[in-house]
Amino acid sequence: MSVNIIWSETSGGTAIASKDLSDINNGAESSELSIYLRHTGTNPITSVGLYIAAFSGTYSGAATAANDLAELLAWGNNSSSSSFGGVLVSFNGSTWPTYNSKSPTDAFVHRTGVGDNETNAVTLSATATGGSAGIIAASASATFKMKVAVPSDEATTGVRQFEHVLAYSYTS
Amino acid sequence: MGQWTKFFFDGTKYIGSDKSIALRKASWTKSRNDGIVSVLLEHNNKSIQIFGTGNYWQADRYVYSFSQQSSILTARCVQFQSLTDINICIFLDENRCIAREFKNFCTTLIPRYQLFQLKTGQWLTLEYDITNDQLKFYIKDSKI
Repeated sequence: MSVNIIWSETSGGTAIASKDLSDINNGAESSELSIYLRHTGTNPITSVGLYIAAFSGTYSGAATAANDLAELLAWGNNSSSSSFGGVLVSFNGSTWPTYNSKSPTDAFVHRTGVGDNETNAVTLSATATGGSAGIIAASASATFKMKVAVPSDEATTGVRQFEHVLAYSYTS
Repeated sequence: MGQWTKFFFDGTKYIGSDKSIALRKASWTKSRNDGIVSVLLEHNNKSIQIFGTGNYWQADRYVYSFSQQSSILTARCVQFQSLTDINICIFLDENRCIAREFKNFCTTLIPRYQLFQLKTGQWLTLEYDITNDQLKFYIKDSKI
């Protein structure tokens, strides 16, 4: 049986399907967005991990969904302070990745090989789940923060779109 | 759609069809899990089956996107954990993946058969990768 996942901005809140992070200038970051995850299964969901994917809805960005994803991952790959950016995730709400520390404890930036597809989904830490890493118990929730950073040397303006995706396992 | 079947040493079996599970009339965790000698999982035209005495587990993989607000089934798995070091023979073709415990290996190379040892505590995992429509097997240190 499939299990529904509810993404919300508050604990136990109503589901959200999209989020506009508003305009972000070069060298700046979006506001930190708190995400709460819960599910409808009667058993825990396990091997829970996050990755980003090409936007699959009606695209309204400036390029293509595939290009946007490639660009976000490339920003995360960069190891210079002026070229680094992308989709940043913090499991503890305070530690964030940087251009020279891309996966500190309880945080990471989506990049090639890390949170770029289902196989490379990044396991939710124990801090995020409030229990065991990668496990969200029935009637429980996990939480993390995310934000997007734009490199200071980025020359192309325009809307970018992407999907945040949760991969998980379930046993009836 | 599909189903999994637990076969027990006493000749009985328990079927968990997707439909019955969705209606909460069947469950892997809430049904008998001792004395299993084989588990068969069928999905579309693919089947995976493990024969052996040990611990079994079944799990399905999903992805759930923020914008799509729906889950997508990406893989179905059956796992087997032996209580001792054993030899495993795998038969793998386009539509079937079958794993069986063997006492002795034959030394003749037979196409589509693969032989290896499964260590105590390891989980032999047979998977139907739905996204890529591919059967595969691998060893994990833990349940999925």
